[in-house]
Amino acid sequence: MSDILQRVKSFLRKRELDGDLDQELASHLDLAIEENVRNGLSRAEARRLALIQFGSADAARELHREARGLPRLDSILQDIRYAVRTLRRDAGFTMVALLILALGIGANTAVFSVVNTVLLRPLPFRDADRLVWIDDTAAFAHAGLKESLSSLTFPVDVFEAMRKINRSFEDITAYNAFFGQGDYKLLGRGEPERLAGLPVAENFFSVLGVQPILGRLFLKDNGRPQFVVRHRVNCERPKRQVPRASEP
Amino acid sequence: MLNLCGINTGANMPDQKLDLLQGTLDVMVLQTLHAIGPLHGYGIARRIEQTSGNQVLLNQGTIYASLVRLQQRGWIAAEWGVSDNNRKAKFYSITRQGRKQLVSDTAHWQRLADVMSRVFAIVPDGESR
Repeated sequence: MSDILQRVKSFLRKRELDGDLDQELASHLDLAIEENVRNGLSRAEARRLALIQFGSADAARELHREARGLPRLDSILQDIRYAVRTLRRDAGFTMVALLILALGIGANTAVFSVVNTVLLRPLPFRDADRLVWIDDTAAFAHAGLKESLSSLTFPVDVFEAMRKINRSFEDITAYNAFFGQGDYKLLGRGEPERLAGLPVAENFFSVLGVQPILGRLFLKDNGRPQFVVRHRVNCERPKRQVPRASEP
Repeated sequence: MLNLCGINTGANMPDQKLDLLQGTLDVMVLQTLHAIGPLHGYGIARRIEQTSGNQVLLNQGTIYASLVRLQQRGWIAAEWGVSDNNRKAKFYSITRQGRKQLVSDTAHWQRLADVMSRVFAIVPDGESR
């Protein structure tokens, strides 16, 4: 453990230690040359012999670094530096590579966020794993359609019949999926406003397990239109002005 | 600066020198420092060469890897100083921990040597010494 610590320390002090080693190697050679001269060699011959006895200084430095530091990290950093230099030299290639990477990552992120929302994330309802979507594959086939959610609807009487004979589900609910049919115009106060609405069966919210923050959900059919207003609409006006509808 | 690349062609060295086994140099350094006291890298290298009767193939430069390794393990200590003939040099000395290590290394090498000599003492069947 302390060995690793030492190695990290040495790794961080590389320049200093390399300088120290260079001084040491220089002093080694001086000492060797001196001894050889004392033994009667000429200065040049003494130096030659000293160098031979020493071996490769580069190898000595390399071994020194390996023995004291983090040689693997060294070589990884070397590779990174080399890669950066190469990329900088070839700017065109780098641009293209970056562009491809950016597009690839962007496209994947976009697709994933859709897949995540639509397929992976559970629906934001109570017991979302017990919710099922009912469709009629036989009817799809009969109509020559490919099976797909929301491309085929059931008439209200079929829905009511389903509810009546249902034994498999806790309850069945429905909504009117046709675009714009549930919209209302909000009149009488300032700018007229279009409110997007969605006609739903009376048990829609209780089946999904949604509770209103204020007020109550639908009462049993009392013969009058009933509304559940979205949080945002509610927030934008004082409570007294909870919108009243006028038929489109 | 030093530029010694490719100098070590072995020209000056007899062919029969021993290659050092892995780990032997470290023990030699420890023993040298233990026996002689503080020495600089060159001194240690020369001492090992002399002691081995020039039997050992030692590129003197390789001793510095051994020295830094021993230093990082806390078995030797280093300090810049001045040599007998007034040259700046880095002097190494063995630490207390180093002496302990040397004792166990010595025992290890002794055992290995014993085993090796016993192995070499095995004679082929039917032959006697």
